[in-house]
Amino acid sequence: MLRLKLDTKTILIVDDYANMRSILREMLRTLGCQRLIEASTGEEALAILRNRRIDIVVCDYNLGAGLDGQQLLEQARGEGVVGLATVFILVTAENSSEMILGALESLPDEYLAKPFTKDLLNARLQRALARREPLTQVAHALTKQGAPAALIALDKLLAQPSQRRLDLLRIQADLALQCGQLDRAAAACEAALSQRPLAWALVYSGRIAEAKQDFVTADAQYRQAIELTPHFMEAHDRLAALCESREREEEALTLWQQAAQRSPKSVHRQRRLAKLAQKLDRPDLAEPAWQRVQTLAKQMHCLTAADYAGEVETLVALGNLPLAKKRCAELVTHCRRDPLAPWWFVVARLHYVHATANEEERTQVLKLLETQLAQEKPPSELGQALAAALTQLGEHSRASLVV
Amino acid sequence: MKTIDFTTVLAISIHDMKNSLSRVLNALDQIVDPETGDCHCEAPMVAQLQYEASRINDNLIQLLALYRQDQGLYQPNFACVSVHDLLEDGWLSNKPLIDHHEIECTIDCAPELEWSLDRQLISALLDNVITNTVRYTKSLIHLAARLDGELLVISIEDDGPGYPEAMLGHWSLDDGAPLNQRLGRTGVGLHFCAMVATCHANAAQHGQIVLHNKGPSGGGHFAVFLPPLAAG
Repeated sequence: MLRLKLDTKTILIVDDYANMRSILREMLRTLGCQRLIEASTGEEALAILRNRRIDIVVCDYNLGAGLDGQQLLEQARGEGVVGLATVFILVTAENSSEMILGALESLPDEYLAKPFTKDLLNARLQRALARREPLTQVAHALTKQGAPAALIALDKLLAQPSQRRLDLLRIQADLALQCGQLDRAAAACEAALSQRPLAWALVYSGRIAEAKQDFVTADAQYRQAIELTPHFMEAHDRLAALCESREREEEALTLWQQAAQRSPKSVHRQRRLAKLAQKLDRPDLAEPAWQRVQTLAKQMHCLTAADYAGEVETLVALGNLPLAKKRCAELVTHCRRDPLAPWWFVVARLHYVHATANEEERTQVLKLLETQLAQEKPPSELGQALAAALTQLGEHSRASLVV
Repeated sequence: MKTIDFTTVLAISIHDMKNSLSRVLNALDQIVDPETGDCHCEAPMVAQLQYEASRINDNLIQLLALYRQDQGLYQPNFACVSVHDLLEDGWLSNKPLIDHHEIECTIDCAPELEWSLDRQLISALLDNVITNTVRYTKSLIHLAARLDGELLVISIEDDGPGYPEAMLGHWSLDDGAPLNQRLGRTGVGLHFCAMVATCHANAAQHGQIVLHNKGPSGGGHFAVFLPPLAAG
C-alpha cells in the first residue's frame, strides 16, 4: 500500500453526531493526521470549505435536517470549493445503499460503509490521495488562471504513463469543453472510448455534437450513454434538455419524469420537470415536482421567487386557491434577498386574480405593476412570464409593453 | 432467479445473531469484576468481541441484501473497480481479528486488474468468507484474483481443516442452490454468496461460486467466478 503523509493535510470531519465525530477524530489522529476541523452540519461544512483550503473531507451521508452529504458534495463541487485535488469521502450507514448509489449525480472519491476499521479508512485515504495529489498543479492553475492554463498543466500529466489515464482524459474533455476547444475535447473522448465504452465520454461527445449543431448525433450519444449506464444521470438530463430545446416537448416531459423518478433529489431536474409540465398543461405532474423543489431548495438554500410564482400558477390551474394565496404571501416573506422577488410577486398575483376574478384585487395588482414599470423595465428573464400572465387576463396592450 | 423463503432465512439469522449477542453479553460479564466494578479486558476477549460484532454485522448486511433481492428491490450497480483494492479492503476490514490470531494474510493480484462488478455486494461476500476463514484457518489466508479465460476468479484459501462435505461443489441460484436449512447460518451464507455471484450476469452466462478443499494441506478454497459485464 502507498504511504502518503497525512500530517500536513487539512481534514474536515462532517457528522451531526458528536460521538461519531470523536471516533473519526481519534482514528485520524492514530493515522498521523494533525490538522483536523469539524462541522456538525452541511451548511457549516460549506462555510468552512468556502473560507479555507481543505485537502480531505470525511463526511457522513446523513447530516440531520439540512443538506445531506451527497448534496454538500454537489454544492461544493458546483462552487469549485471542492476542487480537482480535494479528496471527498462519503461515509454511509449501510453497505448496499442504492438510495445513494442508485443514481450517479456527483461521485465522491470513496464510499465508506459503517462500521469500518481505521485500517480501511487509511487505505481509502491513501488511494484517494494517490489519485488526487498529482492533480494539485492542475487545480491550482484552474483557480488562478482558468481552464486553458489547467489544460497545459494537465498535458504534462498525460505525457507520463499513468494508471489513471481515463480519469485524466475525463478532466481534459471537461476543461476543453469549458473553454470551447471542441476538437481537443473530442480527441480526449475518442482516446477514452478507444479503451472501452464509457458513459461520461459518450455524454461529452454528445455535448460536443450539440455545440456543433449536430443534434442527431448528440441525441444518439446521450441515448447510448443511458443504455450503457442507466444510472448516469447527466445523460438523462442532457437528452431531456435537448428534446425540449428541439421542440419535442412531450418527449422531453416523459424524459424529465423518468429522470426525476430515477433520482428525485435534484432541484434543477424537479424545476425543469415542473416548468415543462406546467407549460404543457399538466398541473397534475407539475405540482408534485414543485413540492419537491420546495423541500430540496429549502435544504440547499436556493429557493427563488420564480419557484414560488411557478407553483402559484400550477396551484391556480389545479383550483387550489387557498394554497396559491399562501405561497404568494410566502414569496414576499421568504425571498427578501431575491432582487427579482417584486416582479415574480406580480406574476404570481396576476395568475391568482385571474382565478378569483376579484375586480378589486385585479386593480390592485395592475396598479402595483404600473408602479414597478415606472421605476424600471422588467428584467428580460421575466418578460415572457409577465406577458403570458397579462394575456391570460385579457390585458393585451400591457402584455405587449412588458416583453 | 429463484426466490427463497425469506422468513426461514430471517429465523436462521436471528438465531445466529442471538447466539452472538449472548456470547457478547457473557464476555462483557467476565470483563467487569462484580465485586469492585473494575474492568479488566484481555486481548483474547477483545478479539472474541470483535469476531461476534463482525458476525452480527455480516448477518445484517446479508439479510438486507437477501430481503431486497427477494422483494425485487435490489438494482445491482456495476462499475469498473480495481480488484486489488477490493481484496485489500477485505483484508483491512478484518485486520484486527487477523492480527490477533497471528494469521498471515497474503494478496496475489495484478495491481492493474480491473473488473466490472457490484462493489457493495462483492465486498459483503468477501467480508463474509474472510470472517468465516479467520475462525477456521490455522495460520494463513490467501486472497487472490486472476483471469480464467474470459472470467474473473477471486479466491480465498486457508490451511485449516477444509469445508464440510455438504458445502463442496458449485453453487449458483439458477442451478438451484436451495437453502440448505440443515447447514443453518452457513447455509444462509452460502445462499447469499450464490445470490451475489448469480446476479453478476451478462446475456450469455452468470457468476457462480465453487468450494473445494484444495488449499494448502487440505484447507478450504472458496472461489467466485464472474463473467465480463458492461459498465460505465
